Amino acid sequence: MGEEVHVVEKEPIRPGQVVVVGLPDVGLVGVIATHYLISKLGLREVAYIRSDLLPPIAVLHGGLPHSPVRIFGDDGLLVIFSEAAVPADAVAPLSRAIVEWCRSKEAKLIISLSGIPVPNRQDIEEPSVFGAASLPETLEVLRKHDVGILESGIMVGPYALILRYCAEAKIPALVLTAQCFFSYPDPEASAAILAKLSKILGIEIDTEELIRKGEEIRLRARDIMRRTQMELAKMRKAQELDIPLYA
Amino acid sequence: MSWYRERRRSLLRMLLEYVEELERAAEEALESFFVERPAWDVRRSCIEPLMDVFVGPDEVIITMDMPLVKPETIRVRPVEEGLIEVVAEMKKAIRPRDLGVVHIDGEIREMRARARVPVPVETKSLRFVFRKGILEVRLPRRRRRASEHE
Repeated sequence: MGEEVHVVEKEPIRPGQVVVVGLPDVGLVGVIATHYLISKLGLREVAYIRSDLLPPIAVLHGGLPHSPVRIFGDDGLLVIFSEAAVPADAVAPLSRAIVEWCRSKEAKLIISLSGIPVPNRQDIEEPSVFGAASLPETLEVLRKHDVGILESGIMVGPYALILRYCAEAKIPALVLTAQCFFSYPDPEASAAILAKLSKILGIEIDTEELIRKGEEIRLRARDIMRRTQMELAKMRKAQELDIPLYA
Repeated sequence: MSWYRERRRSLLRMLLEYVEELERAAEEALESFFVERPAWDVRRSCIEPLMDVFVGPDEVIITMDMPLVKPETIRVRPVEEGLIEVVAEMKKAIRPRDLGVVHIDGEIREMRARARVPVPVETKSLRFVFRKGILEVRLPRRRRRASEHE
């Protein structure tokens, strides 16, 4: 594990689990989806990230301080969730630390949840979900669940690095991305991605409340979205809209 | 004479460095003003929406994320050259406490924003739509007349 980022376990975590990752990105799709997942499944905090590369903040819950990046879990499923924008400079060390920790925990599969911005998002009623995988055999999981494969193009941000590092370490990993707004929180896209995730994991996730409370979530998420936008600009996130040189 | 030229060059370099420093300071001040200013203001009972300004070849498109507003109350108007104001009432008054901010009293009753348009536009042809909680304002760019080029 890199020395700049540490995963601090609060209790023994058994190996061989599936890890779902929700870090701030376009539309906050992963953050909104993982927060909803944690709440719906009643997961508890089992570990957290400690790093001087993260903003100097403590997130207060019930008057007590917490790290902005935490790991929640229960039997069989671990969820990594951040409630603060990750500084662009911290993305690579954080991604590497997550992959290293997952490797030490012999993760069965890592699934990162994210968004893929589309300019005509307002015209789309049900956002489609696309994906990419770290290994050829992991691509089969996407095909089996009718997830369109991102055949070519550029991915930018923590998910891109997690996928690359997982490919290097031969760890099975997926990135699921739902069509979303570039600059605005998108709970509908989060609901679309959770629908696919529930099929892949074989668990039931009712997203009715997520859709119903969508407007309230958008209002609450506005500040983390604004700060995330600034970090995404530093990462040159708009490259994801570039036309690939070779298809 | 060479001493004079050298001194003049050195003064000029100092002046340019000073200007660069001023520009940097101005940029940083501007950035911190926009970034660090809270999005909401309970004294004015309003919250600012997230917004984007896109400058196209023929028009400027301003979008704003406006959840929980009453669509029928949205007002869009130019307040001065290159400045568009948007105001809308919230469906219900929101207290900072409802958003997890317990140390500030007050209410948010409207969403309010001013968008700076970076190029000349025809404000008389302004039109807007509100879909999926996103306001989209379209302003045709002002065409320069031939006489203006001369």
